[in-house]
Amino acid sequence: MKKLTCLSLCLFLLSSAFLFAGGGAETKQKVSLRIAGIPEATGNVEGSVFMASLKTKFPDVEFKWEPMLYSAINEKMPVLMASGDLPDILQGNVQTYLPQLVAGNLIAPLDEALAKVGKDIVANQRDGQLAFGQYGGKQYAIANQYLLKYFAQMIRMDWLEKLGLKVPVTMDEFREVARAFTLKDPDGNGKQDTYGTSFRQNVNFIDSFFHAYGVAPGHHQAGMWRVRGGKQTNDWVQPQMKEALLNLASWYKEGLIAPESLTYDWNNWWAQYLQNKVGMWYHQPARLPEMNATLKKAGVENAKMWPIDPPKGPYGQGTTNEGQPWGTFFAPKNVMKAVEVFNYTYTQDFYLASKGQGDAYYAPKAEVGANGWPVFYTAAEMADATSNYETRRKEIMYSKVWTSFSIENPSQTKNWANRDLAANVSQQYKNTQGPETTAGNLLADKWAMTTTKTVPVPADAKYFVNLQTKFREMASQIVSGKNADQVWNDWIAFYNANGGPEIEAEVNKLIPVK
Amino acid sequence: MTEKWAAFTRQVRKNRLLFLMATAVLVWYAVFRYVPYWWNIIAFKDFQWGLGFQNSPWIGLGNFRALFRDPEFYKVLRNTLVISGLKLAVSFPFPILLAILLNEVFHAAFRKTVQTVIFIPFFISWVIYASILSAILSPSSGMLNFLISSLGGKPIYFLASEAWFRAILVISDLLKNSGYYTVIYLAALAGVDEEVYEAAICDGANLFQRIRHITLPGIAPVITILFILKLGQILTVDFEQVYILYNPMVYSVGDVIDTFNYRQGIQGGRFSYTTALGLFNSTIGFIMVLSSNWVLQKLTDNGLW
Repeated sequence: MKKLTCLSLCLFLLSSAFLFAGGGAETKQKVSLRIAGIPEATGNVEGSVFMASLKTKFPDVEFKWEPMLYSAINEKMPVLMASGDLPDILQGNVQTYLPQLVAGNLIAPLDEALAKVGKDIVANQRDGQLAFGQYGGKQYAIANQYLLKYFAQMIRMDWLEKLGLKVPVTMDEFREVARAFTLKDPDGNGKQDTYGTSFRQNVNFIDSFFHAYGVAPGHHQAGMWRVRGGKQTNDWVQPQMKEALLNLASWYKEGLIAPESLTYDWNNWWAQYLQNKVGMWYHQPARLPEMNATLKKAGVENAKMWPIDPPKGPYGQGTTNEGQPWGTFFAPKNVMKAVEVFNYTYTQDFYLASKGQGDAYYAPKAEVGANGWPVFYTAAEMADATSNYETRRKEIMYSKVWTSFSIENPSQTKNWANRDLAANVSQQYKNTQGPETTAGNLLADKWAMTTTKTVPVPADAKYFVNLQTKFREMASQIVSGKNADQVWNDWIAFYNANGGPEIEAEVNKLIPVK
Repeated sequence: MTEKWAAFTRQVRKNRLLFLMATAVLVWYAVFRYVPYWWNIIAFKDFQWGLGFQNSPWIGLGNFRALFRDPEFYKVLRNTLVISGLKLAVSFPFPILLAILLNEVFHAAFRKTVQTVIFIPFFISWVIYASILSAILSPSSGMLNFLISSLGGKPIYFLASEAWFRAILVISDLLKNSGYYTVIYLAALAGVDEEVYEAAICDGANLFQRIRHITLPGIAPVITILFILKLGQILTVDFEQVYILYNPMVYSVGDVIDTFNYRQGIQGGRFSYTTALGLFNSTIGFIMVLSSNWVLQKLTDNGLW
């Protein structure tokens, strides 16, 4: 009897253990992955095709979407880092934050995860893209696929034609054209209310006018660096910078640059071009179809902002390649799973499942093509006021999580291992690009100059903000006509006393001259 | 003690709704005003990402030394003091004057209309207000420059002018906020007994004598309190106002402690350094409140406590 009781008890315990084990497997805890993206506005990310395809592929993962608006990223990132509670997958500015994130062990090195579960990320990269996420010999971030190389000098061809002018080549010719744009009423409204060119609050986004002097502010990067005399040097303190600023000062004094643009934010700056008031533009050719279409919609029938070679100056010519300051970081806690998820978004399966919604500038149509591949709007459809492109673009832009396949030039896919994917994505982009974008991208390829300081250094964290503020102050003051010698000398003294030499020493130590 | 406690609980039961409402305010103060005090400790630490608040190393007064060695600190301190001083000199007495003038207006409809018109700008956010200002001050299309040009003058780029920027800050502050303070002074004036004025008139006091001997003493406690509070904020210039209106052209005269703190701390991530600056700022404010309260107590018999 005792034996029977013992046997029954053992059987009961065994079956219970078995049942509980089985039950445990069924109710296995999902891995929770927090994803922080940086959209321009928040849309329906949770219900998007993008997120749905992730959820289908990874039923064992619970995705939590934590958007940080692009406009607030400069405030949110430092606070997020200070909290020490970083999302598992985090988009951010690699140039700015990599040293702090690494120093604080807030992000994981990715070399092992990429080798094990990140093969598609590595295989479908463009040339040198991974380098933008490396620090201290390790891979810490995956730079976004799109490349901010594509900046070009643009000019209103219709204005040139109307005034009987040739396309300018030299800085002097640009000045003559700017003078005509300012004084000869190119918009034909009978008022003298147009300008040669414009600033965007400071001198940062008019780099083509600086490269003519062999220097550049470098857009919003941590300076523009070049090798001079066998050393890494910062353009911000070269004597040619003063010459370039004096040139702009003389333009400004003559009234060839929109007078209020030194205080314009992005919206005001963009608006004056759309309002047919400014003739020379330095920006991304990808935005050209939108600008020309908007001008035409506003009644400027022949509007033709078109890319040309940047002005040729005494020390050369060029445009700025920002490289890739934006990328994705991974917190240490769930790095393997997070990289595995991220890797999936670099595959053809994901591209098809998400119907192409991993793009930077363009939006795919809701319906896929007969071959199952996404179909993008053509340049003509984008420009057509009656198409639903703009609505669709906003819907897609605000509901995507990140941008694995976003390219601005078909040539960016040349190294992708998946040739089928590369061919299709390239073809789609060829269709989307109008002739002005194609022409602009070719010029950007020709003239783009890249800073030799591709990654940040630790001293940036302590000194860079002050130096950047002072540089912009100095540049604005010289342009607006203050005593250039005094302002320049003060700036050089400030640079030398406030971390400039320390940053230079670290750059030369960490990024050797090749 | 037990009796006091019983009396207190009786009060709570009797006025539970009032206590409930007060609790919400107290909780707000505790969470947003007192709990953050604890984090002032990082002013004495080298706060490092990842190590966090607890584990970052102590560096004593290192952040304060760095602050006092930073030439930018002296620039923003000077700008802050000048702008605050100008605001105190202009924006502080103006609402008092306005309230006194309005108090003397007997036409009620006119008084209320003026009161409403000057109060409305207080409710407009600085973002909207700055857009209106930019439009008015625009060198190419602004109303003010149109007037200057019509009179034969040369347009002025006000928002980018070092000579004008501080004046714009003071005047825009005056126009936006003086209505609010005027209402406070008018409320204080409402408490002055009408019979005192009538008696003064019977005694032959003229308008200026009534203002000097009745109106001003009547609102003196409120003036004193607001003055002490303003002095306590001497190193705090309206961040929103400056941040929205300034630009690199006027950093040299418009960059203040709050904007500097924002760039260094929030954008630059130098939390320890900017906490040290914040602590310095608060300490000066505290000293100003204590000392001005003491001085005003001696001089006028009015004060915060």
